[in-house]
Parts: sequence; C-alpha cells; structure tokens
Amino acid sequence: MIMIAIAVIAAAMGGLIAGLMIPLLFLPFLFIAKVKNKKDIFLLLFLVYALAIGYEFEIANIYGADLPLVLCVVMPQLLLLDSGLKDEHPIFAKPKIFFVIIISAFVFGWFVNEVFVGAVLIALAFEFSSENARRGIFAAVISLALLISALALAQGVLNLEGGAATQVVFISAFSTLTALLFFRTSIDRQEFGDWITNKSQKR
Amino acid sequence: MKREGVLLLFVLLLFVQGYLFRNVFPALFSSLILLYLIYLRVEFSPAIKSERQIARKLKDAERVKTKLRLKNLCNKRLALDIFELLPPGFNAETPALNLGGGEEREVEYFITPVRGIFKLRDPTIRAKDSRGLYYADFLPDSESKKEVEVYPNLDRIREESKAGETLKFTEAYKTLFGIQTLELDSLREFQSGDEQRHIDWKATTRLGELIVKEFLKETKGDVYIVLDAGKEMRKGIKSSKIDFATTLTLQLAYALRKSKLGLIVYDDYGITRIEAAKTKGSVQVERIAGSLNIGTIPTTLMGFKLSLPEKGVRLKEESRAFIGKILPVVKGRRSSATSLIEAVSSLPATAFLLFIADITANTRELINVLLDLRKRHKIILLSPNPILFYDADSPDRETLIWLYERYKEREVLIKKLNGIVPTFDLGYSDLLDTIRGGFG
Repeated sequence: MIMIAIAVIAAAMGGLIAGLMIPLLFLPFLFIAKVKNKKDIFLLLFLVYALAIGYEFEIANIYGADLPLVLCVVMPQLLLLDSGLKDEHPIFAKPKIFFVIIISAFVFGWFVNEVFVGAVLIALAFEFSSENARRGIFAAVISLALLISALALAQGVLNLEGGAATQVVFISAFSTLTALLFFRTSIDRQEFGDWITNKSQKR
Repeated sequence: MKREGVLLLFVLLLFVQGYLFRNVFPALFSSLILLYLIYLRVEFSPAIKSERQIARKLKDAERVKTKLRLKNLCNKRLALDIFELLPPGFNAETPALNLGGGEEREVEYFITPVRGIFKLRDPTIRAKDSRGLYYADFLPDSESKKEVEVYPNLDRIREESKAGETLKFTEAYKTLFGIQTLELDSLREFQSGDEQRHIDWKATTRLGELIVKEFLKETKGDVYIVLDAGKEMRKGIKSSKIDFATTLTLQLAYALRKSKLGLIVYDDYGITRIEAAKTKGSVQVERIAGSLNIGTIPTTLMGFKLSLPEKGVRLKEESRAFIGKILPVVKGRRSSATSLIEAVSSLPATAFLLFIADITANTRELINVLLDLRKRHKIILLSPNPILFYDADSPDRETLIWLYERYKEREVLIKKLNGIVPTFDLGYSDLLDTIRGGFG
C-alpha cells in the first residue's frame, strides 16, 4: 500500500500547491477503494475526481501557463491512476526508506515546485521500473514528443487571446489521431463491473 | 462495458469539458491518460507455456490432483486464471495465481471425474495484466490431449446401493414374502441368509445345531412368477441366464410356498408352461418344479455366442423394432401376438407378479406391458444382467470397454424401468439366499 499512499499524498500536495481543495475531498475515498481492492469503484471515483479538478483548475492559454504548477497537478494524477489500478507489487513493501525520502522531497517541493515535480517523476519511474518496459515507454515518449512538437509548431495559430477552445480541439484531435495508431491492434479487454459477480479479486 | 472503455469515455468527457469551459487543463489531463493507455496497450504481449500432469487411471467421483506447470515467457508480471475444458459431468477447481516475469511454477488443483474413457485437453489459461485492463486466452493445442480412464468407484457404488437398494429391496421383500408378525410359526434349521437375531439359542443348545425361529407372515393375494425362457435368456454356453433364472424360480417357489403360487413360462413362440395358482404348500412347489423341466431346447432357440460386434454394426432398439416389423413372423409361432402379451393375458385380474425376464430383447414391448399391468397388479421385475454372465476367462481391454459401454446402457434402461416397477439387476451370486441375506 506504500505506492498508493505516496500517490495520494502527492495528489493532495500537488492540489494544495495549486490552491485546489477538491483533491482533499476525493482522495480519502480513492484510497479506501484501493485498499478494499475495488478497481471499478476506484475508476468511477477517479472519473468524478478528474472532472472536478478540471472544473476547479483552469488554464486559459497553454502557452502562457505556469508549467511547473501544471505538472504539479497533472503528474500526481497519473501516479494515482496507475497505483490505483495496479496490483500492489511486494517490492514496495520493503523499501520504506524510499517512502521517507520521497515524502521529504514532496515537503521540500512545497517551496520549490520543480523539486516536487522531480520527486513525482522519480516515484513514477520507480512505479514503472519493475515492468522492464521498452516498447511501451518508447511509444508513449514518441506520442508525447509529437504532441509537444505539434503544439510548438502551431503556436502562431493557437497562441491567441481567448483561444482556449481552439487549443483544446487541437490537443484532442492530435492526441486522438496519435492514439489511433496504437489502438489498431485488437486486444481482449476486461469487463468493467465484474466485481459484482466476482466478489473476490484478491489472490 | 470494458474497463478500457470507461477510461476512453473518461478521456472524451474531459475533452468535452475542456471545450465547453474554455479550459486547456482537462485536455492535457486526458492526453496524459491516452498516453498511459498507449503505454499499457503496447506493453501487453503475454506468452505462457503450460504442461499438465494427471494420472491415467482415475476413480469415478473421486477428487484427483492434477499438476499444471506454468512458465511466464514474457518479462511482465501476469495474473493467471485457469479454466478447465472438461467433458460433461466433470468438475474442476479454477485456480488463480500471479506469475512474475520469466517465473516458472507448478500449480496443483483438483478435478472430479465421471466414469468413462475421455481425452482431456490442457486447460485454458487467461493471462491478465496487472492493471486489470487487458487479457489474453491461451487455448490448448489439439496435441495436448491426454487419455484418462475413469473407473467406477467401488466405495461409492457400495454406499449408493446401501442407501437406495436396501429401501427398495425391503419394500419388495415385504410385498413378496409378507410382513413378518411377532407370532411364532415354527422352528427349523439355520440356512445361510437367515438373520442371526432369529436364532433360538435354547433350541440350538438342546439340539446341538443352529435352529432359527420362523414367524408367521401376513401375505395377501396370489403370486405369479412370469419366466422368460426366450432366445436371449439362453445365450451362453458355459452359463446361460436361463439356468440362473430356473434356480431362482425354484428358490422363490419354495420361499413363497405359503402363498398361492402360479407360474407362466414363455419363449419366443408363445406360452410353454402354465401353472395356475390354485393351492399352497410343497405340493404346489413340486408342480412348479415339474413345470420348470423345460425340456430339450428347440434348435431354433439354441444359444450361441457371437464374437464381439463391430462398432456401428450393432443395432439399436429402434432398428431392431423396425426389423421385427418388416421381417416375416418367426417360424413356429402360433399367433401374431407376441409371447409376452400372450403370457400376461393368461394372468388373473389381481396378483403379485414376479417377472424374471431379459430386458434388452423386447424392451419397448416389456415397458408397455408393465405400464398396463401395474394398474392392477403389484409387480417386481428381476432381470439377469448379461454383463454379469459374460464368461470369458480373461477379457482384453477392448472387450472390457465394450462390456462397460453395454453396462452403462443397461444402467439407463434399469433406471427407466425402475420408474415403472421395482427392477433388480441380478448377477450370478444374487440367488434368493443372498438377496434375503442382504435385505431381510
């Protein structure tokens, strides 16, 4: 449960750094859903939580946004989603020292946002390190690089006063098209709501 | 709906929210989730190797341990569910486990089989990613089939027969031999099958040999034994069912000497002997014994043992009935009515009927007759089981399988007949003493 604890603390601190109160309201429920091993409930709660943050945290222009602050809010959400869905790996049960260091970094990050973002990135790297990922990381990095490049290239068109809607459409369209490249292969997907019939997800 | 579908819906909602609220943050957040999904999709490529070990010879309804050796050939941690694709009637546990990248492990779980020879395929293994979003099924290849032979479980048969047969036998016994009263009738020498609690110890000490008390029994009505002496009953050289049936008839006649007892013997040509139930006692038993002197067997009825039929050549009941209709009437028959119908038409309006007949020769006719008779009579059907009379010294595997298949078919038929009248499948050793000993 160490990783979800780190993710919850990171999300709460990231929210507080940006002046958000919504995370404090939802995070305890997300933590309980994870502790009770109810993935589907966790997903639903996360959906509502993300919509609520999207309502509270506002970026009117991506080119004028405070990037460290945006990353302070966004990055812990990814850590939270992954640690909520992923079955806890026993490796995290041992290095309690890692927990202490990372939380200390979060506290320090309260004063220097870049340190907080760095600590979250380290936690993310730790989370994914056990998976020996190659192609997945490569695909994600390429997609992200393409999006950033596209945003940089289209800055002249998109960086306008009141152009948030256009930026949203651009990001949405570009992300969707990139994702379609990787969604062509057919994979069997697990059912949502099987916890209703299959009570024990613990193994 | 799929879990991934929920996340994609979530992405869409965030895009819509960003557009409607003129806010770029939800769009960035949803892009990040899409990147996360891309990562998970590309990384999910499980590979599993499995091999099952199971004993070749199993026992019916007895849990058997099966070992499954699993190896995770990819470098990701996988959650595995194991599903067995077993023949109908089998039961199996569905174990689940987690397997690290490159890890190899042996899983043990239990299967409960049913009788027969089966080819078991390896189980289907469902490999799920650690986030519970995707899965892949690994189906067994056709070469993974392992043959298992599931033998009847003697302990179970014994238990079942104890539970079911005892009740049925007791009921039949009371119907046939009357309900025993507490009134002493006579004393006689102990015979095998007599109950120990009926031994008169005083008389035994006085006379120096085991003496048992015989009590008066309340019996109602006449008893008729209807004996099938047809071709099917005469099959076999060393031991035919008719020999057994004759001995059993004599024993029954003696045991039922206190009732008015009649006998009807019929074969494929019609009724051969008929002894009306006029009197009781040993005189009537002697008459019946005389009637049972069936005499020389007509050459057309002479039994002979056929070699095992080829698969597919053996006729089914329907086919036999059809051939019976189209073939000319058996040479020597006196009328177009079948022998069994002739035999039962000679019965009085009410009586206890004891049928000793082969149930496989003219099953449909026998069932129709029993259905009609049970409205007016109390009936018990005793049928010598041909499988138990099979007299090969050392049957080979093919023969055993063939016999077993016939035995199973017969079990179904016996079950069906039991729904109509109490039916007892008898073997060599099931003569009256044994039967009485078993349920007296």
